[in-house]
Amino acid sequence: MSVPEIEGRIARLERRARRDRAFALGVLAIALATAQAPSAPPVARPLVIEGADHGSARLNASGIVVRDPAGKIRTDAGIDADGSPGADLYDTTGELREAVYLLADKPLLRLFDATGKRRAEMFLSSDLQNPEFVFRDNAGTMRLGLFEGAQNEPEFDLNGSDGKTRAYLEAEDAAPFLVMRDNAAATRLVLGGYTSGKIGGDIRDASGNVLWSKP
Amino acid sequence: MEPVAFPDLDARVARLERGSRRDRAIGFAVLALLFVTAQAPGSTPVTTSAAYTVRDASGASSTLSATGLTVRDAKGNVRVFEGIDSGGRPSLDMHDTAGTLRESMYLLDGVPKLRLFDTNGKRREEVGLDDKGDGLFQLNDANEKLRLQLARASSGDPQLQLYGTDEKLRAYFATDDVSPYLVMRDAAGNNRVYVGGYSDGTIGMNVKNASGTVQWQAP
Repeated sequence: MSVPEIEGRIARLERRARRDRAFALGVLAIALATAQAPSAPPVARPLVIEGADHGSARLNASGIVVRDPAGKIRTDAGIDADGSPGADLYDTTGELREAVYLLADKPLLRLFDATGKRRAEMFLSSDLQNPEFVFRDNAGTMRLGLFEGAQNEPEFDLNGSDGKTRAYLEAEDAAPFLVMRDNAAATRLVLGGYTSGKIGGDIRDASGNVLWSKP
Repeated sequence: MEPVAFPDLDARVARLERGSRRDRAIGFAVLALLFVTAQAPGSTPVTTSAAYTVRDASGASSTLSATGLTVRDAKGNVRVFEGIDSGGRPSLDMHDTAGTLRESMYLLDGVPKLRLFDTNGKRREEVGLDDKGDGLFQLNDANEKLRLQLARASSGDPQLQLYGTDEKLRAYFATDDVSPYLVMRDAAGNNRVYVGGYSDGTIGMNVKNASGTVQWQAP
């Protein structure tokens, strides 16, 4: 073998070694960029799934948001900006219509009308954790309530448009009673158990004078 | 030029050439394997048995698994679960900052329920369907005793019912197709006040004593 022949073979080997090194580094880069982790460890990037109609679901660290093809949020579930866990349903205009969540750690269900007003709610009170269910009119005034009151007695209330109670049916352990009031909040009719222990009924005038009482 | 004998050098160069060919073959094989197994960045439906977790800088995370979505706060406490729970029920659960379950909407033996729980884990309020498929709304006290209920009675009549701390019925307001009626009872379960339609079709009112004797009635 001549010296030029050996020089030629070595030069080819050197070129090939450089090319192979570049090739190996390229393969390594592809492997790092696309490799499947065996147990899919936590990832930081949100996951977005988009349908053919452009509706989408986005999973991020605080939960999931689903949008319709128009891009409006229609439902979400997770932890909101205030740190409250919950789930929401939105109508086609994007208005929130139904929400179940924990507001300052208190559970509630709220139903909203098309103008965004709260119309029906089910919740535990913030002070005693007593259960309540209320209907509100379109002015936001409570018109009907079912709840456990401060004395831990169950009660059914009907309110006027001024939000004042017009009638309530309540149950103490000794006996239940029904009270009806006029718009000045004067009691006009009582039926059921009295604090004296008597059970009966009476009707009063606007000044509180008893007009009729039995037995 | 005259050939020069470099037997050692010739053998070493030949070995290098063989090694280079072998390494190239291995490289191509690895590349082929990568193309077969790599995740395509833009590929659509992906099926995997592994959960997918998104985590932010605070440590809060959402995990999508085969059973549903679990959202944890920055402390790692589960705050929301939506999916199929350990009992096989489709469910939406919300937990407070202490980790206590406070609100749950789910199918219990196929019956839809929404339940609110207090900080002691007691069921305090519930709306759903009963086992006959009728609407049901219940309020419980802190001892989880039923105190108020909206339901359909066994007769089918819609009723508002109020209960004492002993969970015994004290009052109910209901209606049948003929007329509505209100009944009030004492702690012993005796009817003491009746207002509305009687079973004979008349409408009136009566007050009884604890022995059941009518003390007053009209008309």
